[in-house]
Amino acid sequence: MFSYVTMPIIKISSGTNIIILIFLSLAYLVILDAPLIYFANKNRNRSFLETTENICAIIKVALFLYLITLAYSIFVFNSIVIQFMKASITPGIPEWGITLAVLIAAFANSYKGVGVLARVSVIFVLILLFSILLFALFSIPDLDISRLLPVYEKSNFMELNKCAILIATISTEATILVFFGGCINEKLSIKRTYITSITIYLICLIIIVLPTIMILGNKYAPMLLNPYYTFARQIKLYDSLERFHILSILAGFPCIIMRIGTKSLIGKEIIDTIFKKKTRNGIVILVFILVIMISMNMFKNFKIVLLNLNFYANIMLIGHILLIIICFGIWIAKKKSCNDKRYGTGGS
Amino acid sequence: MDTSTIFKNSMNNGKIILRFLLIFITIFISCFAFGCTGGVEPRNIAITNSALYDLDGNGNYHVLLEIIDLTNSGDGRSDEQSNYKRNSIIKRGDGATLAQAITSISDQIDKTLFGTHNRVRIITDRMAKNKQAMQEFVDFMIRNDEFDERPWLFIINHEDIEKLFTVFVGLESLIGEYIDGVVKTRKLNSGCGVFVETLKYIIDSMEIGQDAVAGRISIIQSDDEDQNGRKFEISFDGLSAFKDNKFMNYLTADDALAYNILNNYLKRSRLNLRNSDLKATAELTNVNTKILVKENNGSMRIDINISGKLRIAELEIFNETNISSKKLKVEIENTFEEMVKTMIEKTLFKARDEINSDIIGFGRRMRMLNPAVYDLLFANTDYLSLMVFNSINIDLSIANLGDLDISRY
Amino acid sequence: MINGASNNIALDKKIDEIRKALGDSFDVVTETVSLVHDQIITAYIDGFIDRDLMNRDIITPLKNVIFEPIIESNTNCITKKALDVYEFANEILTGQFGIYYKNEYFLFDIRKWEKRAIQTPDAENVTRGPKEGFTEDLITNTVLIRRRLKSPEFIIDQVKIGNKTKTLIGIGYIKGLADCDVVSQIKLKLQLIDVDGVTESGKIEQYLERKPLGLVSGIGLTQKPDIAVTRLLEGKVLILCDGTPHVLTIPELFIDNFKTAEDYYHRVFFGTFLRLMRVIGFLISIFLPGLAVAITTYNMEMLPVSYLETIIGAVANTPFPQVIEILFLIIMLELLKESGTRLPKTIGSAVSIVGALIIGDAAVRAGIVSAPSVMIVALTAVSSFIIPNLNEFTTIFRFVFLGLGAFLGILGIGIGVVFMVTQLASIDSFGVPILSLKSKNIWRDTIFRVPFKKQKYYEFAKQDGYINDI
Repeated sequence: MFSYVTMPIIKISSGTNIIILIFLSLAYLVILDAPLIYFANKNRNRSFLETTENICAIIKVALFLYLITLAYSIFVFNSIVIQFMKASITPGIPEWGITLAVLIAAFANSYKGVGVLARVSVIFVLILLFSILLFALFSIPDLDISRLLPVYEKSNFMELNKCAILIATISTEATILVFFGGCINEKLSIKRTYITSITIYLICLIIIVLPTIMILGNKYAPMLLNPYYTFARQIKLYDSLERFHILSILAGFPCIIMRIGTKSLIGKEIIDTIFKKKTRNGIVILVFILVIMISMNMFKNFKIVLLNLNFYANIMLIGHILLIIICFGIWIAKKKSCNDKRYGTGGS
Repeated sequence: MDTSTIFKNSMNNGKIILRFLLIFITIFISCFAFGCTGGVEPRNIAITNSALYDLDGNGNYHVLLEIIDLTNSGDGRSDEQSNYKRNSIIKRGDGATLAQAITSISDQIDKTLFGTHNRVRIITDRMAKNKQAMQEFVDFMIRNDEFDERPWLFIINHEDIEKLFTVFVGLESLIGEYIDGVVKTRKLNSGCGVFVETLKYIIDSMEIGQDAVAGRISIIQSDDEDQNGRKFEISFDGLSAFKDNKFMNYLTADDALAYNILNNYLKRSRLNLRNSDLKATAELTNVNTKILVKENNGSMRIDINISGKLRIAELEIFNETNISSKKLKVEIENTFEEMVKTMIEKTLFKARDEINSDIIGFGRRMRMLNPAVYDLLFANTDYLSLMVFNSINIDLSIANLGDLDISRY
Repeated sequence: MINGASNNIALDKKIDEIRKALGDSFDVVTETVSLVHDQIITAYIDGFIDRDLMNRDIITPLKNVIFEPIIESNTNCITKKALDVYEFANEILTGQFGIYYKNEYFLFDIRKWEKRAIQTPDAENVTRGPKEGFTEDLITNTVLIRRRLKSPEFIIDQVKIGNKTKTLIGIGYIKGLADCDVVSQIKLKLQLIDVDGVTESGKIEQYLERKPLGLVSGIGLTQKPDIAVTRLLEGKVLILCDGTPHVLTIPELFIDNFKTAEDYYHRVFFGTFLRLMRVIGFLISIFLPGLAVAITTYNMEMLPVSYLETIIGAVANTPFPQVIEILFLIIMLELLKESGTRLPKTIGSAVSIVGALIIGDAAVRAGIVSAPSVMIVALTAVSSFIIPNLNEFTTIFRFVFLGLGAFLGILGIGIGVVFMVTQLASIDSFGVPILSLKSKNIWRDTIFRVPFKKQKYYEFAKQDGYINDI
């Protein structure tokens, strides 16, 4: 639910046709996720750890790089929360206070394992859907459709595709299936689950992005730190409350914590894979979180560069493609070795 | 799972929860110890109700804030609540920037300034005429969360500042609340004023092919004094036109009505008509305006179609006997159509030729429909001179003659 | 005579032996009864047996026998034999009547003791529906269930728990509906309980749950036989404990706490409305104080000006920050609740009136707390009574959210929600996660109750289907 906070689709897309972009990014999202889904579907009962039994040096390096990508992404999430909270919600609370609170919540969340994480996420996604639907409904009297009318300023083919790929990479979530393949119930259809999640994503995107643009305009919205928050501030509740934008924070914030939690859990899986050892959840996640906290201090001066959404998208794109290559490399290598074996036995 | 592991698990979980409790306690203690709270108690806030921004000739900003005085507001119980009437204090702050001016106010008062319940923002015309000052104003509004985008934005003549806080405020006791109330009522009933929230001003000022507008406030001498000795009243008629974030000039009440009709903002407005044949007042409702913008030989051809419904509120016909009811109806409609058309034409020409500002947003419409042409022909030129009003069709129909028997006419 | 004398000495020795096995209390009655030919020893606990029945069906027929008596055939009761004196004593301690005759121990079940009549339970009052409640007697309770469930598939297994108390525990379930794994797990866990005594089902509950420190147990509680039967039909397992009217139901989903028996007897819409009210009450009782503090300290822009003015007017002259006011009031509320529960009913109501009306009003008038704070806590208190089952949970989390809201504002509330939901999601009741809503049939009877025609009693899915736990 990254889109909920920073709305990459609005920020990256400034000027391009937003409706085309939504669907195009969705297509790219499916394309980017397809190999991972395929991989997860074929290795249902095994996680990445078991699939890469004969782990080689190249894969180790690649996984390590992916680990750094993950760490960077958690760092970005956390920094965005801090930046936003400091600017709009709780300016009085020191930065470390917010960081501590966010990371402890994320730690508690991921500590309990994937099962709990999945169950919790279902609940939060429902709350989130409810809240965005409520805001969309109450915003109807103020919507100005003319602000949505397409502006083709930069809508050439290349620009649109570039934006769509970047947006898609920010939103890719299929990696979780690769790392927690072993935890998926056998009866569950992965494809159907994926289609459901994509549909929810699309609904979210439409009822978040379009009303925001219609209320804030496509020039003003990209300038804001959190366009959706500013949008939510404008919604009136028929004189009963001045505004109820807090609901958007209450619904969106746990989702970011979930994202941080999931990512740290993936990080833990990767560490397990690299060192070929089942480690305890708590220790690894704690180390992961500590690294982030230290890096927060270290990269203070580069924050503007690191938090740039385009930069983030590019890094994630590289990290993601890396992961897909690894997955397929292993997959093909395994298949090949299987074939060799069969051939060998047949020969003898 | 065998039982020994079950019991082992339960022991482990106990430890985990203990650990969490410890973490909680650590957080709370650290919060206490390092003062990790940023909240403001309600008793420590000063709620601003309206704000006035001014820029003098030396480039100094002056900000006047109307702050609600809650010292006599009672403790919330009904018996004391009934006698309570809100008061306000006006505080002035000066500074080289808006932020500095506001800081100087918050330095004077013993409470934290709280701006998100502000109702009205009033800018003097001399500040609005300064493009840089207006850009600073917009920047300040976007950056600072404590001053939000909701308040109504008005422009006032700088000579009237002194009078502003001594005007008649209706049944309210605060100027901000009064203006807010008037705006909400008049938005529904009258089209002679333009009421714009700060957000809309900001969005319009950033839009390509569109110039922003703001409301207009003028102080007029009242005929009689009220019980507090107030001699002035606020007039909300008219609008303030901007071009490229710079205030150009005021427009009249008729222009405001035309602006509202052209932008489909009109809910209901009264039109008064008097000529040699008849004297009538009608309510104009259900206005639907369609504006078509086309490129034609390097010029911007504009066609405007307006339809609407009239509800006759008052009608007096001087030579009644000769006119059948249907003919009369058509005649009334035509007269009103003519009236509205004249009004709109006057406004359009005034905006194009005198004020030089595209307040209706013809350029934006052109850009939406044909961005390539807009970029090629109009983006880098002052396209206002290239605008040609090709046709203005107005179609008003009488929907209601009031409660009187129709056969009378 | 010599023979008789030696016989008497032997009988006295036996009496001593039996009394020793029984603990030699004053309520242990051991008597020698002379028959026509011989003497017998009777042993029983005073007040535990039906004396009339004893005289009429056991003693009198034996006295009338002219020849040497045959205990089994000469009495009018069903007779059981004990192997040794210890078994004999143990059975007598459970209320049986015992006879020692010629090196043999006979037992007669003529138990009768004073017990509470079947009454309406205090905690689960209904305006519509059966008013009967469980009593402290296990057999009465099983009868109450059996009367509503006349099926051979309904099975009650028996386990004895407590080295000293030897409390009888009944495990009730419907064969074919209940999950066999859950039943066998429960039995195993019950057998492994090593404790001196069990006096209430709450103790068993804590032995059964996987996370004894969790705030919610995943084990339900009821005092009404009709609800117990409904739960059985849903595929759940009952644990009846002798000596308490509280019957445990396993597994209990979190959503079950929001259901009452009445929901099913009302019309569908009203039943659903009541459940919605309960959910709202639950949310208010947890979140309201914390949210109120968070909003009035960090996000006052949400409140309308006039309400904000009222708050400012109200708190202007009070000495403490709002969080302290609310904390003080909540602690006062808990004290009042506790004293109201423990005191006799008549005094209890007086205490609550004194607390609620006089202390609250006096505190406001004295300017110690503000009126809005009193209102917030009062609303919280009223809401917290709606779901008594979750009382512990709401009380603890109310404090947590108050603290988080005061320190971190809305961010704190968000973090608290994450903690709370994670905590709930990690609790499972015998393999069924308590937040599980996977089974389609469960959806039909959650906050919205679908008409019975479209509802079927469901069997529990063993896992919630998405992802297995690791």
